[in-house]
Amino acid sequence: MKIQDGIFIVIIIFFLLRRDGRHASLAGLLCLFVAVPLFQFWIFFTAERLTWYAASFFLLSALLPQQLRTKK
Amino acid sequence: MKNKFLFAVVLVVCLIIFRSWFSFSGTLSSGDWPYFYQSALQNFPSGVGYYHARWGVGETNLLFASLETYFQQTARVFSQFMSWEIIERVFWFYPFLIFSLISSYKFTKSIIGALIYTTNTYVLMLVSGGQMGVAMAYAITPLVLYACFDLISDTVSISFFSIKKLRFRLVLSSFLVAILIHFDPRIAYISFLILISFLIFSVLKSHKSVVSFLRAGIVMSVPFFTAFLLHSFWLVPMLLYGVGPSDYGNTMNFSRGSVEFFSFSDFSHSLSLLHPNWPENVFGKVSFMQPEFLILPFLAFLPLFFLQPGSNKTESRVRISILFFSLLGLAGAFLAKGASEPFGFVYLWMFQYVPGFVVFRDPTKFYIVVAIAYSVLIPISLRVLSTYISDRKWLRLSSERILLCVLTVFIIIWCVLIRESFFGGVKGTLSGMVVPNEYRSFAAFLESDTSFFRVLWFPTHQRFGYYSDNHPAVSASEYFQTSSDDKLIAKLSDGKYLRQLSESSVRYVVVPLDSRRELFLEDRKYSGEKRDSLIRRLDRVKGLQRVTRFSELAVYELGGVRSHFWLTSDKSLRWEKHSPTSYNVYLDSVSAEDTLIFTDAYSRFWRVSEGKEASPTLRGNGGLNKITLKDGSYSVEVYHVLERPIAEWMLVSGFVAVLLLGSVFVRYKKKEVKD
Repeated sequence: MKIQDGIFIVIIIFFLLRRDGRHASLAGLLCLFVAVPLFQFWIFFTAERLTWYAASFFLLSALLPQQLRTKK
Repeated sequence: MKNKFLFAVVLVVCLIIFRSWFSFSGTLSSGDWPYFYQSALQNFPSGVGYYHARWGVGETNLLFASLETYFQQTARVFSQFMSWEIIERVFWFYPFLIFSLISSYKFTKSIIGALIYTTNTYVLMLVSGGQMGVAMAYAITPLVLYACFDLISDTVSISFFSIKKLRFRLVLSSFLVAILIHFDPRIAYISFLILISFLIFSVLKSHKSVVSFLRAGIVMSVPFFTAFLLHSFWLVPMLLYGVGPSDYGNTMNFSRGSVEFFSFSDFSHSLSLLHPNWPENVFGKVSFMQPEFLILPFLAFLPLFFLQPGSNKTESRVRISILFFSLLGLAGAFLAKGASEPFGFVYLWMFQYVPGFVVFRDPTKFYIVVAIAYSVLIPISLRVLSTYISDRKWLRLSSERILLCVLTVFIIIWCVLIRESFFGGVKGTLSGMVVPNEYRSFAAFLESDTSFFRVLWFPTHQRFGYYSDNHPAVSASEYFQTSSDDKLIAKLSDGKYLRQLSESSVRYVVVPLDSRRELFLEDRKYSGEKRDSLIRRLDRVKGLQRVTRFSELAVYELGGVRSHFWLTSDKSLRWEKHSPTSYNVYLDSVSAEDTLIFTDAYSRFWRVSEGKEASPTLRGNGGLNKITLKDGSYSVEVYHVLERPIAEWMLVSGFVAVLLLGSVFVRYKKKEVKD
């Protein structure tokens, strides 16, 4: 497991415990945003992983929509 | 006004991308899309196309029997007054474009959605690669989902006794599902999975009881059951005779290893709706990830961030759409990458254990799920963005103008993403081609001989090489199951294999002229030297006589070629062909030591009968059909065992079709009376 995997796991557990779908989706969008320059500079390993993390954040966000309601 | 402008822009974009389809400058044959000469078209057999006699040594393909029937019958009937160049456009390419635009517009209710669905890299690779059956199914899928989603939503919310109100829509959905199965059963399977997911999702989201779930499930099964009945003419025989992967030649094609091999896409490609072969579409050549495509998942999942609980029904529907299609897009991207990481074992497990999943050895089929999801989500995202911008007080523009600006900017971004398709970077069926004269001369040469024989294309068939039921084309690399030139030459240099070829009715061996530059490749680039070297080596093979009338095509004739039916004792016989799957052979004074050879590939489906009793043929030398004889003069019938059940179940299919059409007609008449 790489260091970026560890950071990802910590963040996703944090969102999961807080049941915060909204910020999870924001984290996903950020992952995609950061992946763009990495792909551009051929840092494929981390860039590819960032897309995995992004998808995981989106999945969490879609599965935790009820939290948004209480926030409103 | 806004819609008209966008509609015009999208239409212009499509016309530019697919411009070669409207120029009529030659055939669009490329990739899997074949080319047929007029005489071959006119000689297509009538009836259900479940047996391909024109290819190789004959093969049974029930899974695509319906599609093949449409292909053969439209070509056969219209070849009387149209050339192949027109037939392919009228019955395949134009319908694809029209259906894809209309059905995706109907489903997404957005012109941008239609643009994304019709011109994304996946479908452009699909179409340019000539997989028109899949492309047609792809085009119709949104319409099927539209009809069935509506049906599910209504069934969940109405009472049991009101279900009969949905009768007409059930008929319509049945027809649409049947058309989808007709073009590609695999895409129908994917649609079925999407519908099941939607059914579960909508019941969970609307907090309905298990009863409403069951009710919706029962109503949803009606179109699929009716479509099954409409396709019973090939589905039932397939189930009855257990036709499966082992009947489609090499079972290795359906192994775990083949799935791993076909998993070209990685997750970043599939999540970005970027086909791994974009834009060259060279099989196995995976392009680097183009980071600009990440804007698509970014836009698609952006609504998740802005997601708010709906206060009214419309907002609630949009919220459900965002959640459902986000999950669908993620699931599609995960499956489209196949056995690649992450969690590649999940796809392999599904391939082995989920019923029907065995047909998805090429996981890129699941790109259709991503395309559907993104063509719904991105238009929503653009609307959300424009609302967000128009909420800024400093912008003194009407919300409608802002929306128009956002949509226009997106279209420009989209055009930049798929820029290769505008500048000729995407070839295949998106660029027409004229048939070289040498191929036309060779076709005329073969057509002039009415006797049955095969042509072995070395190392493989070229798309303009003539082939028909009477002169089937055999690919040497398929026949000898090797793609190595050295091994192929070694086989041909062996007298045993040359004899086997002539006993399999192969009369000519041809090294094709590679006008599409797709066969003689070295490091994925065309190599004329590779072809020349092959010809030089074939010139030295004993038993092959060069036919000198062709200069560009290297044509060799084999001696001692056998007919479609022959006797091991070399006695003459007479045979009569009723169809590619039914023959009568008249034997005169044969002895029990004699053996009758039928030069189509042996399969468990061939039967031989003399009078009432039928027995299966035996496997002979070279994988041909061997038939043992008895003393005397008599005739035998050689036929494909699936012919009769297919004909019988065709009656059921026809009856159901008439019933459904009748109900549509009655409704139409009733409406007319009311009006």
